[in-house]
Amino acid sequence: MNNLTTQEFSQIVSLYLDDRLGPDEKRRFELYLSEHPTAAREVEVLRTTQKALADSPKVAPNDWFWLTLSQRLDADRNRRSSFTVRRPAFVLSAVTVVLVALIGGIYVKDAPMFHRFFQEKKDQVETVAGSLMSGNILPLFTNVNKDEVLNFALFGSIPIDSSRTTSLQVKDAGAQGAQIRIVKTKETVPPVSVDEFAEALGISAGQREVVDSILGSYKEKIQNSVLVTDHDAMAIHAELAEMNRSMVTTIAASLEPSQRSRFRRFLDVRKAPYSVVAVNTPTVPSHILFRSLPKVSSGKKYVVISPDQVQFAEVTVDLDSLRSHARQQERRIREVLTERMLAELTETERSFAHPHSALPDDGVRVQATGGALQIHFEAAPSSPFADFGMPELVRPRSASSALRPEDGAVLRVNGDSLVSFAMPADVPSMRGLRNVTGGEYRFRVVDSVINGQRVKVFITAPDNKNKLGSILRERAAHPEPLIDLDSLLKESEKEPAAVPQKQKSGKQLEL
Amino acid sequence: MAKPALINIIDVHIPNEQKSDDVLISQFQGGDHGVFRILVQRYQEKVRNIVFSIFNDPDAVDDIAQEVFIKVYQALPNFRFESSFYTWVYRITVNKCRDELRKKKVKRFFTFQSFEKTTNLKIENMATTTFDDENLRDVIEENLKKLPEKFRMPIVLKDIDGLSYEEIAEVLDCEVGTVKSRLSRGRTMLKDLLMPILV
Repeated sequence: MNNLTTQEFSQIVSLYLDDRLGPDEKRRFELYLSEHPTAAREVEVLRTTQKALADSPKVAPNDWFWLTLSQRLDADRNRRSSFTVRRPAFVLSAVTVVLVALIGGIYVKDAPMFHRFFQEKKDQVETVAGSLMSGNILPLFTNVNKDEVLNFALFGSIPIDSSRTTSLQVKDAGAQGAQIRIVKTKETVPPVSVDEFAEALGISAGQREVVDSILGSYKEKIQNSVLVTDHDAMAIHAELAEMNRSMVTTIAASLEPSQRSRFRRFLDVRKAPYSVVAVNTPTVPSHILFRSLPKVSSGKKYVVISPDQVQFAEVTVDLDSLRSHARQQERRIREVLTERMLAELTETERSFAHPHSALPDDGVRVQATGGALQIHFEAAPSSPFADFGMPELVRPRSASSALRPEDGAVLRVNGDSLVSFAMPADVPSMRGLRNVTGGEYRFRVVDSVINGQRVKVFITAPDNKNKLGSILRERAAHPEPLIDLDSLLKESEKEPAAVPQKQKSGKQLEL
Repeated sequence: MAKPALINIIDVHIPNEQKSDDVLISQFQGGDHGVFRILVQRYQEKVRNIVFSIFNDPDAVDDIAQEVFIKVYQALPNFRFESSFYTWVYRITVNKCRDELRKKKVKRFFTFQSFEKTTNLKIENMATTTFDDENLRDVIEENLKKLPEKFRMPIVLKDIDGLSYEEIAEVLDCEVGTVKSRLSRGRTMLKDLLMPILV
């Protein structure tokens, strides 16, 4: 390589540093450097520079980046939507007129096609309505108070009848998942009021507001989490299993270290299912806490259990109006419904042979035995602050004591459209389920309206119609009478003993 | 590049965290805006670091990086899969940084004279000092800031962020030849600034 001009040298050296020279060029350039010590020094300076830049320190990670970004995105969206509203109304009106004319034109042109489409939709909706959550839908909890929410958070139990003998319990077993049970129990732990709790921990008035907000937010969530129908079906929100840990963690996060220490003692003395494991972690600012609180409208996926089927369904209902309706009926009718539904769901021992080791990692097991209903979620409940890199504040006390590996119908949910339903062939005779074979069912969402409520359910996709479809067809051929709530109430008032007795057979209870 | 047909098939078996950028973007465009968080978490540190390497000011990093992601969020519905999401985000970041530089009227801090004075002072101060890695980096970064932006940016992208020539060309929206030429000129300018100090 002859003497290089400055420009040639700078071009070649840059390629040389980036290892972009061919083998021959590289060899010739290195020979040139060996003969030109000044050029070699320059290359050395550039190499040192390049290495120093590559080793530049990185900016410290910011754990709150997403949090603040999402707040800015929300603000940006709100700003944009308010801008849209301010647009001149006549523009929107004109667009509407054009659209109506266009759609009208298309509809007239393709009327037969549209008619067929809507007929097919209608058929699908009727099939679904007759199979899954037919009848009246009511939230099981209509007027939960904050004391009950607190006790559910601390002790994992909330009564579902006025005599407090039947309760919904959540058992969190850490990495092994969680169970929701509906069982007859005697209360062993005296309930704690929010006032007593606040006094025991010595929390300030400001903190009390935060705790009240946390409980209020979860109260809404709990009230939306369990639905019952007068068709003996029950829908339990999949998130209910992790709500306890979320609540206790959020409360613990709002406390100062000394109060957290008192909280730990408080839980220890009462042998609560959770224990505070990180006392000295700094108090989480309230704006972060509030970001972690559940959105009332978030997630609509329920495990739906009827005497015949176990399904995973997306249920969208106007819970406010349902609650208002249920409050008018008040507790009596809900108790009648609950009792009847529990009897129907639990009367048959449903212990299906299914080896525990074969259970899927992300399965939901449903089992009914001994008058209790049990749903086992195999996924571990998550902390509300897991996304923010917070250390674990609260841990289940008895994580080591495994959840009982009860066998049962296994519902495995993968994403939104695939449900595996594991059921061995030797299933005891149960209505409807006798036709269900284990396997995978593909579902898709269909909107339907039941009793004026919008309900979204998954139905089988055409390629798997033969499996679940056969059940749906059978049910359609033998429709069971829907029960009118008013008549049910009248029946129960007329004859207090109308609260159903457990049946020995699998027949439907008649009132 | 046309949008791969497979993107339309969203595999429900794979958790979102394990899905490719393209699949997540398809989901986003289909209305699942929740996946944006995963995309942000995947690239937030890269974006923050490129902002940091351009401004060298930790206090400015998060604000600018968030504005980058707001821009990404707004533009994502129109993303056409013609480049990788990665280089597309880089391009938005670089453009945002350029805007900021323009806004703040950040120009070369030193005239040649004052630069010479400063350099001489440094040489005097450092005449008997051996550079440790940290000092060396400070000196290099300080001198890198003196380069015009069009020569500085390729060096930042290549030597700090480790992008290839082709990626830099995509990010800066220019030819690969232009990247090579700007890198070569930028490095020569940097070398000329550093030679009196380091040799």
